[in-house]
Amino acid sequence: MMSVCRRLNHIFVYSFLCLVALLQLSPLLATLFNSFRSTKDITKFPIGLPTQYNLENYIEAWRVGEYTRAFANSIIVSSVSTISVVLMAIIAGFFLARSNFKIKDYIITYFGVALSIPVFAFLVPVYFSFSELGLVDHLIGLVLLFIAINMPFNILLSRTYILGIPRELDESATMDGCSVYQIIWNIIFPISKPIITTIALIVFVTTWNEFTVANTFLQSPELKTASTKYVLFVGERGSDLSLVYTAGIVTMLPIVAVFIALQNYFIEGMTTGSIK
Amino acid sequence: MARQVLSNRTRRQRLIAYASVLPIFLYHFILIVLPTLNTLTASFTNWNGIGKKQFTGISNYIELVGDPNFITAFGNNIKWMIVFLTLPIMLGILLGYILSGVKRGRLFFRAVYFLPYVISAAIAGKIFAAFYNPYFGINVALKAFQLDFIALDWLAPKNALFSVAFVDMWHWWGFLLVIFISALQQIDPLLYESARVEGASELQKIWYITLPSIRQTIVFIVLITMVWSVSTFEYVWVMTRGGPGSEILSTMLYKNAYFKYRAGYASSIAVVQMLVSFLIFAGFGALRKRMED
Repeated sequence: MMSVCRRLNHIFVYSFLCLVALLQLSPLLATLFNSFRSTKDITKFPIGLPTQYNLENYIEAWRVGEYTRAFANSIIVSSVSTISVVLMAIIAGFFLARSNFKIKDYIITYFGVALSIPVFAFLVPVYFSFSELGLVDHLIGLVLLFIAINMPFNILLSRTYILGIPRELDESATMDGCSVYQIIWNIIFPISKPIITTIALIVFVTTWNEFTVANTFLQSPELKTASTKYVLFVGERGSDLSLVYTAGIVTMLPIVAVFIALQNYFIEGMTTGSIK
Repeated sequence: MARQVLSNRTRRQRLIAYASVLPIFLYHFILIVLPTLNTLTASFTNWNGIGKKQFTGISNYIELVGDPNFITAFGNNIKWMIVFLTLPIMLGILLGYILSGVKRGRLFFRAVYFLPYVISAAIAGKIFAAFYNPYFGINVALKAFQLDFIALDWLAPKNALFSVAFVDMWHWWGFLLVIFISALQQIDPLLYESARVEGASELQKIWYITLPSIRQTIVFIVLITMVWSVSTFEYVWVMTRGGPGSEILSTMLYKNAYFKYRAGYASSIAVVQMLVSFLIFAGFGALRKRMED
């Protein structure tokens, strides 16, 4: 009797979990299916199974959306931001964890407070200053801001991690006559691989997906990053529904692919630290 | 002699520490904090973004209080906040509770529920806008299944805010789920065991064990939800540009700064957002202090 009850309970729980999963995925599945349908079909009925088993829509969306350029922009912006933030996070994280200098605690508090500054607190003045300096509508300007925006959180994250590395490791290296930067490079860097991966993922994904700052600072269509380009694309070709859905899949695919490959790193990375 | 060498070395290391950390700090200060201070001063001027700033006292704030658009926008932020304080948190806790209880497939379901969180607001917003389209969107399907009564005009003024919020929630609740799962895993299984022995029902277990145990996490989520609701922007801008019925503080700010050449007025909206966020932080700080006493 008990086991029947339990099994029924089991079936009920898993059916519920599957139902929620289906609801959660349905918008993405509908989008994926529509990328293999024609605009005529979609206009007639908005959801349905694929009808054309070829990549015609994809080739067309890639060409019309000038995605080669958009992806190149995104890759440049996200990679440079990621590498810079990782380096700064490890260096600042190291000194804020290990050294004893007077203003250390103030700087830690400073970055803690900086975490809560919303984008709109500084967006307008930065925009007009950058505009005067000729940094608006330049990938460099966007990268400079992305680095600054992503710094506080990741510096604190790497500091917490480095605090957990035994001090003896770098102290014995100091005795052997290593300079501080040799210690960072040869000892801290290799041990910090997990946190570096986490930081790299966080920065790469958030900068790849970012809309507000990217869309404000990059105006020429040929400079847009993939996700801001998509908004422009839909604005211009909104009636061509198969292209709208296909370009959507194209734009989200790289991040979703990385997510599926590294889901645990991803999920833990994007949520750890937000609690502490 | 040895001490002399050592202190020279520590002095040198201190110097390296300063030389390494100060540039990073200054970089952030110049790009983020200085402009934030500029927003504060600009809010007392009639700055148009390009020209000189002319001090106009608190006239921006006086205008703001009398601006019906501002009142609507503020109200919409409050509505947004209320929606986000209820549905996604409840969903996150409920599914987190269920998932913590199953053995097989926990990681799979967690990944599926989390997936929308990694998709850009720009993409999700535009794709849902296509679904919401009254002529080619889901309404066609709903009508075909005789469900006309739920085939609403999703992005019409009276529905727009909630339709947009729905998309943001679709994206957001999986994140909460992950945070709640890790909080739920900290609960001592003995507590549940003894509740089971005493014959407690599932609801009693949730009410008397689960919720009190994850109280701190809930408070934290409530705090960030409230603060983020004040300056939410992306989904609304992508889907309706803050059109009728969905104007919020950030969209109003954005239009004033970049389309109406009223950077000063826009700055005063930013200051209101900061002030409200600060009050929320302060309120939570006071609450925490009272809870500790």
